[in-house]
Amino acid sequence: MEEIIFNQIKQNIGCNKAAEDAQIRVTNLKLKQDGFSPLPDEFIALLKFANGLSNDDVRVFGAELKDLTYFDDLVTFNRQFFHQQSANWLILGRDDNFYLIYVPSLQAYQLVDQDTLQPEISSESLEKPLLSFLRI
Amino acid sequence: MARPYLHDVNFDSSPGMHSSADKRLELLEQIKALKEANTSLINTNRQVLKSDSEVYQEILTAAQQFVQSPADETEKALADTLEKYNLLLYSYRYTPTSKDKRDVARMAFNGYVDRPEEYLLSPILRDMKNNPLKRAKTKPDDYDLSHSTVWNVFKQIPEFAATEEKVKKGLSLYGIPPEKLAELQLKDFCFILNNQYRSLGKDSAKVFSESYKARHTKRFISEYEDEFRQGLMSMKGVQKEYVDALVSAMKNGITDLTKTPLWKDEWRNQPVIDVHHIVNIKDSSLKETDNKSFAHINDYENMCFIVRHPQHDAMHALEQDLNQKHREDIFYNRDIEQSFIYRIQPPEGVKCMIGFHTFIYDRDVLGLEQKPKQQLIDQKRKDPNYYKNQHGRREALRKEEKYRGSYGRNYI
Repeated sequence: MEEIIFNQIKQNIGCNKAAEDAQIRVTNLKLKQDGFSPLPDEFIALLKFANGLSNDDVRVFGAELKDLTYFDDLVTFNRQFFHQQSANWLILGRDDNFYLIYVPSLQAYQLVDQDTLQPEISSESLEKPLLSFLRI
Repeated sequence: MARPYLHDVNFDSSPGMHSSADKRLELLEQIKALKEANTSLINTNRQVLKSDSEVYQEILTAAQQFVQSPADETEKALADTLEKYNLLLYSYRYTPTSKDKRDVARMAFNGYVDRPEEYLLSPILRDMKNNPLKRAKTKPDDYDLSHSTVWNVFKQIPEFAATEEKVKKGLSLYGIPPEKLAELQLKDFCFILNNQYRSLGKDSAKVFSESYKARHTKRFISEYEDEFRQGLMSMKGVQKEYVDALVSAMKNGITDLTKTPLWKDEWRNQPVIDVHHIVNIKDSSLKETDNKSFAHINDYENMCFIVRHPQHDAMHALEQDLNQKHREDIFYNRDIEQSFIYRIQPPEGVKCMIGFHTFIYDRDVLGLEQKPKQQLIDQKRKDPNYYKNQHGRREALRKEEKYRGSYGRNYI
């Protein structure tokens, strides 16, 4: 994603401090251990800008965030959601209505409805679904 | 007018209770006693109560037992566990709320108008947008928006209704033939509204001078500031400086401190306040009784201010688990008329939940004190969605094989 998008996010959204490489490596190890796909590159770039985003009920998860309330940990949420079983997609964020997910088989980022799990937006780039998800 | 009360109640110490109405009466008696004694149980009772995470585990265990072995007994056990912590288990026979209504209610609540990508627009608007020569020569007054079913949804929100002239202007700009109005979808109206406001140099969110969420937040904090502060400070590890900043932000309609200049990094583990719809926005159609609009889903009376971790997240996570079968029913278009959807709700009158033990009650609850006990119980029993009314009905459906359970399967 371009610098201009990061600036747009910074101006409008609550941002955690940037993730460290170690946090991302540990997260990837845990995901591999649990049978999930690793973090996609574009999302890693976002984590290195802000390790978690918050805009009211909208939350984009971060790497290795334990016992934080404003920012949620990606591995913890996915483990709980999928009940410790592996899945063919990864949840990167949530609000009260949608999940922001990554589907490795399609190499696509999607916004899916929580009730129907049907995609509202699907894109090979993170930018479109993310900005729509963050409401900016 | 009497003030509302903040209190801690240990339901474990209330043996012999059978229904939420009983419990509410018990609660009211305790409130009355507190009022008369002019004391607070906040600090004294908390020592003997389970921690919020322990409560969450207890509820989670009951939910898992029900999901793994769906039966009236496990369902009742879950409902009873939830009731101990003043949460009610509802199961509705599925009454779909149209996506248009859900989206419009959600936009009003957040004070934000979706900005759809061009590929999501209906063919008629896309065609007119990209082919200016095809556009019909129309004037704003040529459009009668009542012919659009989508607009008839939009206009039930007063702020959207006020944009009628701008929408007509936008339709005229793109030369949409008036007879094609019925073909326009919700995304088209969002696109037109965004363009109209952008052309005025304003952000799309300015359709709403203030979101419903911000408005309700301001009202809540103006009515319950003392109780809210007291409740938050009773939580373990909460910093006074944080509570001061949060209250100050809430007076400006903001609950997410990270977006404000007040934010400090060390507050990342402080309690977050969410604004929760008591009746879920996805069930907006349930508000359409007695000629009322679905827009009442965003009424202040339907709001409960709630601590995100673990209460709010727990409620939504449990609903996700409990509704596995419902999602399958919808996905496979199977037995929809027999499909149940589970919701977990705080009882009416709870204005704020700070942990599983601390509640701030609405003033209206005081009105209930005047009602005889039996009247309250009858009132509860009349609610067709209250789970206790459904005892036996689901078992009968299962026997008829119309209600094939598949809770144990992993949906994903």
